[in-house]
Amino acid sequence: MPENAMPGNRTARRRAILPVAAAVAALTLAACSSGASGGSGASGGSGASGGSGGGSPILIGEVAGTTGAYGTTGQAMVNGAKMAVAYLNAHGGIMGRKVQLQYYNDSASATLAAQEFDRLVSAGAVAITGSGDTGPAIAAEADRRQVPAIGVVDDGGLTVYPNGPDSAPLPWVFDLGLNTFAWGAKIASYALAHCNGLAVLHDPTTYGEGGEQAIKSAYAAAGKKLAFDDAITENWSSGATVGLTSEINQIKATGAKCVDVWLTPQDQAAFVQAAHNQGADFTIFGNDETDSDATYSGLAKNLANGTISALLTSEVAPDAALKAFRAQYKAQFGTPSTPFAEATYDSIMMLRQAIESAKSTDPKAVQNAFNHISGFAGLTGTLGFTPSKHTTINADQLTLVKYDAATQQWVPVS
Amino acid sequence: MQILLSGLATGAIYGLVAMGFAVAFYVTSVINFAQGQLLMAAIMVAAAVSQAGLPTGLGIVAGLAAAAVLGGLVYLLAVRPVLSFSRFSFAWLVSTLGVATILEAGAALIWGPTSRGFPVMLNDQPVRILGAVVSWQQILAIIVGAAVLAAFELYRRRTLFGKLGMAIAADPEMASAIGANTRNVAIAAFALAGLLAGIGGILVGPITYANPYLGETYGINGFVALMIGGVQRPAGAMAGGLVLGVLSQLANTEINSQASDWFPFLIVVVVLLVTPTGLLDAARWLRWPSRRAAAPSPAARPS
Amino acid sequence: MTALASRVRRDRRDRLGGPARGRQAAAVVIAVCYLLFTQLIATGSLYSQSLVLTAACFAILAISLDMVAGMTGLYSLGHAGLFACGAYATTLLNSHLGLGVFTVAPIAVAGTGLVGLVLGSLSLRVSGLYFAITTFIFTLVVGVLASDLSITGGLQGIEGPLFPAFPAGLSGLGSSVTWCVMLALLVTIFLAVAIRGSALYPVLLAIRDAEPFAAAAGVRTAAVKIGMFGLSAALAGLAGWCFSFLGIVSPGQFSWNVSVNILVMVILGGINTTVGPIIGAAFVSMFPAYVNFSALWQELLFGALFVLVIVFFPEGLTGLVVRLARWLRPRLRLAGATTASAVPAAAPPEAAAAPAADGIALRAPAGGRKQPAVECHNLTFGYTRGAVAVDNVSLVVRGGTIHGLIGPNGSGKSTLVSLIAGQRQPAAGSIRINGTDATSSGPWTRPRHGLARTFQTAVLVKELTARANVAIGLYSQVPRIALRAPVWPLLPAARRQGRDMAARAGNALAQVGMGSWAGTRVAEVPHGVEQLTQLAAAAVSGSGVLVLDEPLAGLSPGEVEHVAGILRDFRAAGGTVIIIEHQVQFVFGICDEVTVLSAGSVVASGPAAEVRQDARVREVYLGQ
Repeated sequence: MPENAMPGNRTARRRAILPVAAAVAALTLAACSSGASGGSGASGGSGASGGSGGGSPILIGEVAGTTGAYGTTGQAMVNGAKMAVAYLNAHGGIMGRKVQLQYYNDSASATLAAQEFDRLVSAGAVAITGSGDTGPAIAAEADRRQVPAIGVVDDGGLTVYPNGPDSAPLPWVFDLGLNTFAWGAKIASYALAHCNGLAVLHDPTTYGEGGEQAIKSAYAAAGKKLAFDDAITENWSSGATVGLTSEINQIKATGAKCVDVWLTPQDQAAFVQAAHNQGADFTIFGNDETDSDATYSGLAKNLANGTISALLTSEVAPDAALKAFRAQYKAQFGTPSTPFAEATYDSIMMLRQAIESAKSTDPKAVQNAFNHISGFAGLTGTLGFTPSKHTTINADQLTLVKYDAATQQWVPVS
Repeated sequence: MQILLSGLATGAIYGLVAMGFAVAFYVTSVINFAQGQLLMAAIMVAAAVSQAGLPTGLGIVAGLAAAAVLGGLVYLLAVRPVLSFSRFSFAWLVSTLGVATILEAGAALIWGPTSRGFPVMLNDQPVRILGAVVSWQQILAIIVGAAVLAAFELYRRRTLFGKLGMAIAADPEMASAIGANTRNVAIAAFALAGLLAGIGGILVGPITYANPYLGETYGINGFVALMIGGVQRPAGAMAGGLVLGVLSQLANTEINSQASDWFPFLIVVVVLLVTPTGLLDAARWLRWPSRRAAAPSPAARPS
Repeated sequence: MTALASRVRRDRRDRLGGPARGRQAAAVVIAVCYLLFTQLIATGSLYSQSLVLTAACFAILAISLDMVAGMTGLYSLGHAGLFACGAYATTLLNSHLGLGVFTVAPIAVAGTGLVGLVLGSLSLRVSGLYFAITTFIFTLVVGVLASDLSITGGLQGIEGPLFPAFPAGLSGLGSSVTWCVMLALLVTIFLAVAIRGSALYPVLLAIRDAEPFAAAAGVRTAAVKIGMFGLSAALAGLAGWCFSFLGIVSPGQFSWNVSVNILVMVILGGINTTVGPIIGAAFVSMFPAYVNFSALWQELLFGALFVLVIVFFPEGLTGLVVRLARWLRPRLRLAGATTASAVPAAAPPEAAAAPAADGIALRAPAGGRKQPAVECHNLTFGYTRGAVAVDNVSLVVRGGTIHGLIGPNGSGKSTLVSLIAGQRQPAAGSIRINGTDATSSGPWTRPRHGLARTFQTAVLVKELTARANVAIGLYSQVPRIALRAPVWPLLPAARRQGRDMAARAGNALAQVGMGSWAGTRVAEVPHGVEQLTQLAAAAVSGSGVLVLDEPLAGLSPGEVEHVAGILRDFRAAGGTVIIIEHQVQFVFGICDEVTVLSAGSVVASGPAAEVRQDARVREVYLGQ
């Protein structure tokens, strides 16, 4: 009698195989019929449509990196969002509905950021503000899920315009953050006029690349080249690098007198210190992080004297609304406010206006409304978007500032 | 020359961390993955003390003490309880990494995740040597590194305590049979490892400032230095650190600024392919070749 | 006729066999529940899908790591790097070469498996700690490549490929990605279950706990280790393929922390179990989801979890459950629960053996009794330069004799035996076994040459039964065990061979008088039983030459007599025995010929009676 002619075994095995075979067959059908590029992604549900009016709260999501080297930036964003939501709820909410904020830390991880974005969309968030560290990931998810990403979406710049400043922006990203293209262009304009050669050290992410691209294209437009241009990998958590001595010496060798250190504030301070030790007499330029809080100036102390960066003009001469906001922020959170908090606050206020003008929380309607906001009076300036412009900050809204170690202030460059 | 000096200075720090790894491993056959965090602890404590207004010297002492104490605690809490498992002989791998995470998150909770200032010490005084410019702090690092190495070798060979360490390393059962208190010696070894890392921290603090996440960078680099020099001997570890420092600077200068990310690993891979137990051991092997000899390897030792 | 009848009896017993039938029914129920669960998730929210599928990818990783760490004892910290290889390969091939996701699958999986094979063969030259370190460095290197190369998108990573959705008719099944990943997990679970139930499983445990024993039984341990690592790597690549559909592939997901996380998952759930890694993966990957109050506290707690788990619960959750069950069983009188329910012993059902199955069946050597069984000529060996352990030793052991090897401590007896057994290679000289040259071949060739050995300190797999241990000795007799292991349950011939091996092992134990201990775990047997189990394992391979290294150590006089009887029977059947022993009376009582070693050289060699009277022998023993 053959070994496998045992009815019991065969029936049992058949029972086990059947459901599995059915599923496998289904999967094969899926593969054959859909081909290489398929439908709009994993699930049919797109979520995010608001409830049917009435009393259900409106959910605003936030993804921000509250730990790590840029942790204070993320925390500031969360604080700004909290203040905005509190204000809205104290003043009738949006279309009479209460507003709810849900935020997650993405630990500067692109994968986590995408997962958290999905999670918020699942929960019905109308829009997501953030993230300061993982803009490209958020932008990609916004595109996939067709839900707006607003506020500080990383560096603006290459995140919003992946193909360069003159190309079309990503349709679902509305950035109020500190646009690297703007900062780069502003700094380049000063350097072209005052510098005998400019060197650029930048980090290899879209943040650093955005700034570098802006500076390079400004120089190219003027028919000049950068004296030195290099990418420095930063340990994203500690911002510490191996040591910048060799870069300093290479820059010295080119004869350039100006260096834009587009790195974390702590690395900028380390650079300044090392440059001082090497006897290099550079004029140091920074980025939007340099003067957004006291990290750089606190670490570099007197050596920071003379460092040049740019601030929002609205920051240099704050109006009453901004002053009031800053006072309230300081009282509530114990630390001074930063532009990241203010930009996040502005983004939620703009969201309110978008929803109210669209009279709906449907993502497409909100997106359309965003594309037509203009003249919005925000803390960070007079803001607006158009279908081809999805960043609120550009170079002429910036003022160049220089650090004065004696007064520990950033004062406008004359 | 510039490359050499800067490289040696950075390498001395890596070497100190690596020596810490090696000392702990020498006595207990355990690689303490929290070693980098001990360096960080010294920096953070010293920075906190100095920012509270107290003199820098006090801060340094406090930092070193903190690192040493934490080192001993790592042994007691994370290593000793798991050494007796016969089933899973690499339990310490997981537990020391757990401690590393705890130390890092703890420091971030206490002092916040961003960098804070560190006393400048000698870092703002440059000196010219043969056309190269380094800060006195870097020279200090090199000098201290060499001094620590010399002191360690002397201590190991001449004092009873040192010989005890060697005895326990060679045969733990025999050592405890003749009355050596293996537990205390192991704690001391871990504390010493912490102290070494702490010294490295104090030396490098002015350059990197005080940040809770430094432990990971220096831990990995120290570990790479250890692999280059050889797990067996602390002297080899320091040598490995110096080699790593100089070669990293070389790569940084000659290739591009991002080369120092992958260049150390390239070296380690080459070293491991050629001599699995590190360069210094290879030197020994070259002197005594024997076909199919059973080379004493940590894997063969009872753990 | 009787053979056929006995097979019929066996078949009928299997058809009606309670435990086997029950197990299959349980498997079906579990499979159905699994599919229902998948359906539930596939039609659920985006968030629950994200959670479950991430957990599923990590479950695949955890199971793959358990295969090498739990079963084979290779603690790899490289699985995050292999995971990265699979994920990046999938994403890059899809985005740059436009290959479809199903075309990429075999490339990514096989490619990662290949990387695993290479990594394994490089890392296994120096085992144990260095293996962990080398794989650790591999993960670091992959991480640096992923972060620094522009093609991999740097720190921000690249967007994974879109998985094609179901066609309209099947849209009721919900998300196709969910089905894909869950089925991949099912395949992985099947592979793990298959290997665990195959004849390879005890061999893997032997490689893990008692590698010399496995090698002596004919296992090419290095090849098996590398092969397992390659399989594990391929599964890690599969996990990477699945993961790439879940969103963005960025370096932060593949750091060395992740490697350690996977190890923690395995330990937390229960190392070397089927469900353990899955439970661990679910728990650890969903940890950030429910511990959400403060990012920094969450990290702190996570680290504390590692330490607590490893210090207090090294057996993991499954171990806790097993202990609980054992504590409850006498109180609840659960019938049929086996002692080692969470640690599956060798799966072939432990039915009573059919009488016609063979146990120890000697394969007669080619040349018969006349040919020397073992010949050593001028063997020289030293552990370190300068110290010679075996000095120009020549020895001839004739077939069909019991040959004693005695001498004071340190005289080189064990070294000589390890040379004969192939564990070490001599610096000079030659060895012939049954006429074939065996000087420089490794220990796994010995069963082929017809030689088997036991060890001075019994090296057996403590968590397996005596029968399972003895079955390892049959490895050299059953072809292609390793290759067939991953699909064992699907091959009727393999299952039958497994049962045969168990039966033969049981018979072998009976023949050495240890039949009643067959189903007991070696950890719980007395020393004497362990020694005899070792003997049975060596003898069951059918080798004509047995080399026994101090088999009587720790045995009572009665047991010694018992062993003597076994050896005499063996000799009568035509076998040859080389025995190292210190019990001089026993040696001269049973051995036909005796060789005396001292300080690495042969002092005397010849018929037992002559050697006994030799003056030099007396001097060597009394002079000490």
